[in-house]
Amino acid sequence: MLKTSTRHTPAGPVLDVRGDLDFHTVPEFRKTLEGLSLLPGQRLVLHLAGLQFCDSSGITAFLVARNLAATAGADVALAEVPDTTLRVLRIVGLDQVFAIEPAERAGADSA
Amino acid sequence: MDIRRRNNVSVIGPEDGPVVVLAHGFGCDQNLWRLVAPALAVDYRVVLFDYVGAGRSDLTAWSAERYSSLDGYAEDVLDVCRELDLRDAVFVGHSVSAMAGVMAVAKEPGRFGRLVLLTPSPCYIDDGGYRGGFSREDIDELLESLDANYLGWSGAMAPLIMGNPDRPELGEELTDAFCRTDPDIARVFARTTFLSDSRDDLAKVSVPTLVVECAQDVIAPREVGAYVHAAIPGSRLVTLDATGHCPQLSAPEATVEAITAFLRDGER
Amino acid sequence: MSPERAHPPPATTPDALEQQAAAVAPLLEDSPEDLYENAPCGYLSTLMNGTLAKVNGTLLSWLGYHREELVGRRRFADLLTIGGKLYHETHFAPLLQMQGEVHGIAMELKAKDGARLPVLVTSVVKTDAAGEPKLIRTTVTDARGRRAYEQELLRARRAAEEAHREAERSREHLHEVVAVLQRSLLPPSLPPVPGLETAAHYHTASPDHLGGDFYDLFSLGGGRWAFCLGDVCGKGPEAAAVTSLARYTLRAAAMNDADPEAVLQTLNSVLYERYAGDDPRYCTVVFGLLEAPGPDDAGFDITLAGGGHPPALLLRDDGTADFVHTPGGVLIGILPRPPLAVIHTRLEPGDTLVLYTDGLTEARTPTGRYGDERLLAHAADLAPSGAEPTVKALTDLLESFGAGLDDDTAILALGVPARAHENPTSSPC
Repeated sequence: MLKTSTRHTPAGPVLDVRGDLDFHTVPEFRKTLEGLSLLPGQRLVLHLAGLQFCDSSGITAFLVARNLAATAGADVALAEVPDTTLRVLRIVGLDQVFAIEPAERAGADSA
Repeated sequence: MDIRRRNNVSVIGPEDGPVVVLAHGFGCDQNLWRLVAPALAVDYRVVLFDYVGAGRSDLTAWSAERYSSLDGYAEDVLDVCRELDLRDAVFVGHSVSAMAGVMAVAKEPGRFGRLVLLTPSPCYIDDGGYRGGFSREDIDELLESLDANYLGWSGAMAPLIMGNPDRPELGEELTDAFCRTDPDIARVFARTTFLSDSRDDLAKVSVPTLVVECAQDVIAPREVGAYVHAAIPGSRLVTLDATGHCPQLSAPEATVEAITAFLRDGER
Repeated sequence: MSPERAHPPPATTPDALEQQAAAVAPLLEDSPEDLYENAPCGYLSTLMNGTLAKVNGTLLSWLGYHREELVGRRRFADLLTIGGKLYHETHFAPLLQMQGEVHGIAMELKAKDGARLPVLVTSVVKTDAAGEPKLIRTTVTDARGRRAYEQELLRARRAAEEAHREAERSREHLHEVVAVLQRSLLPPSLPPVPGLETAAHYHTASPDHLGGDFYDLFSLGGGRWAFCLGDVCGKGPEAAAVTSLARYTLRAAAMNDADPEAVLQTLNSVLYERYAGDDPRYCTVVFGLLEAPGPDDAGFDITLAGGGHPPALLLRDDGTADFVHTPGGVLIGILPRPPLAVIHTRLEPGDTLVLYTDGLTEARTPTGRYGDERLLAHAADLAPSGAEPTVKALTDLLESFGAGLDDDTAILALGVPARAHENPTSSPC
């Protein structure tokens, strides 16, 4: 199961991701990503505090988000990444590719 | 392999009695012998079994390949004989089983001392001058009849006669699987039975043989009984004043009498 | 509404019921005889040998016979088609004789003009006071509608069975195709490397899908060997295409310039250019170089480059085990020029290096994902262990996961045979 919700901030959209990112839910997640409006210079934040499970399909989804953002001239960041997912990101070297944000901005900035 | 379980073998009667193997034909299982087995078991050691695919046999042991020829049924007979280490036994085969017995005797003659062929037919289909009673189309029609009944099979065949006060021996335990066959298995058995032609095997029978026929039997008419009698050297023919293909049900006393008279002659 | 009753009250007293019954009886002009003759179903009775003793008018009219043509002259089985006769003799009659009644058997009657009438037949044996069977009573119900319906069901069932068989055949064919392609993604066997023991295992998660894992081991000439193991994202034919591309690119690149970092950069360029955009295809890979030992050295020098792949395992001769990390390496195929980690290590006699894909560590167990810690502990239990027994032990481990293992898994082990040890138990104190 996957649940997403989007909040818009002046700095860019914050996509709250809860549940599982796997082979079954990623197609739906991709659609959500493609439906986001991103302006040049903005930053898309994937807020992952509620992420329960993330396998290689989920990693692919993060890369899709990165490519979409790049196309729009925007940037992408992962926020509040759960430890297990952070471990996977480190193994595959993506901790060097994605900006990893602490909780503050994604959690507090809900204007 | 556990043959006793696979073929649902049961043995009744005195341990030191001469052995009589009762083999059922197409359509039912060893229950077909229930009116004659107790009478025979007074003096004889009676062996009952179900062919694989029938009655309470182990259906997982069934294969279309093995049971698409009478040889597969003859092998079942021999498997049971080997398991019980039978020698010189009397084999009583009903209908198609009679021919399976003829084949089994040819394969391992030492196991059988005498043969009783109950309403046998070596070939059901007319062939030139031979009158078997049926055409190929007739057999196809039987297969359709089997199909027509297998939809309602469980409903029509299963409840049977729970607690019929007149026939207390027909308990619930016996009736639930009785005469019910998986439609695919029934189709293979029907084909094997009614398309077989074992006429050439009859002349090879080397043991004393009794042929029992019914006066009126649409499946094995009297011409066929006469043919079998003539083809097996030195065989004896008894015609029962009975109707139908199953004298062990319709005329159990006469059937027992015919068999025991034949066996008594052999003992003298 | 007026409170007065508009209708007489329902008759409930015995007297009232009797009066009502008496009132309708003349209207019906019914009698047991008339009911028998003209009932909406056929009735017949036969002697125990099947000879027809009594037939009702309904059945006669269905069949087009006069009573005197049947009674005393024909048997019930004579009214059946030949297939029906065979069925009657092999099933119906034995059942009836054994259990005294048979219900609802489908048969076809033959009318005098040859027409066929599908019916349902129920028979009961009537016995006398002493329990002797005397006659058989049979009811015959018109089953034309039911038969048409049943035949429709049979047709549908046969069609469904045929479709099922067809689907099974297609599935088998698919499995064959998948198996053949899968084999093409892996070396048919590992080439012998002098002074080294090698072993590999590939677990396919499903015979329906091509896996995306791969491994390889090949000679570069001059006493050098290359090995690799990787995991392409995703499953199925698209992933398999990437797997094939990756494996052959690695081979070709290594022939050109065996430097592990250069080899992985070449693979990265190929994937990055081929799969840019919203369908990123990438893989994690470990690529290594083995340098054959000198004449007085039984060990192997190893150079390892990792692109986002889980750490290798080193099982040492002294019974310890450790991860061999390639930190800092990034997935191959997502960045124009990714940072890659290169490390150097050595295999001494008795050491075994194990490469694996994350199917092993991601397997679900009753206590969560199997994970790195448990894998390392298991490796330490195994050590020291040669390539063959190590792969066997890990294969057993994969099997123990059962349904918890739902991903493809590749394992490749390279081990230097141990020096002949002195027997520790016989060593003097």
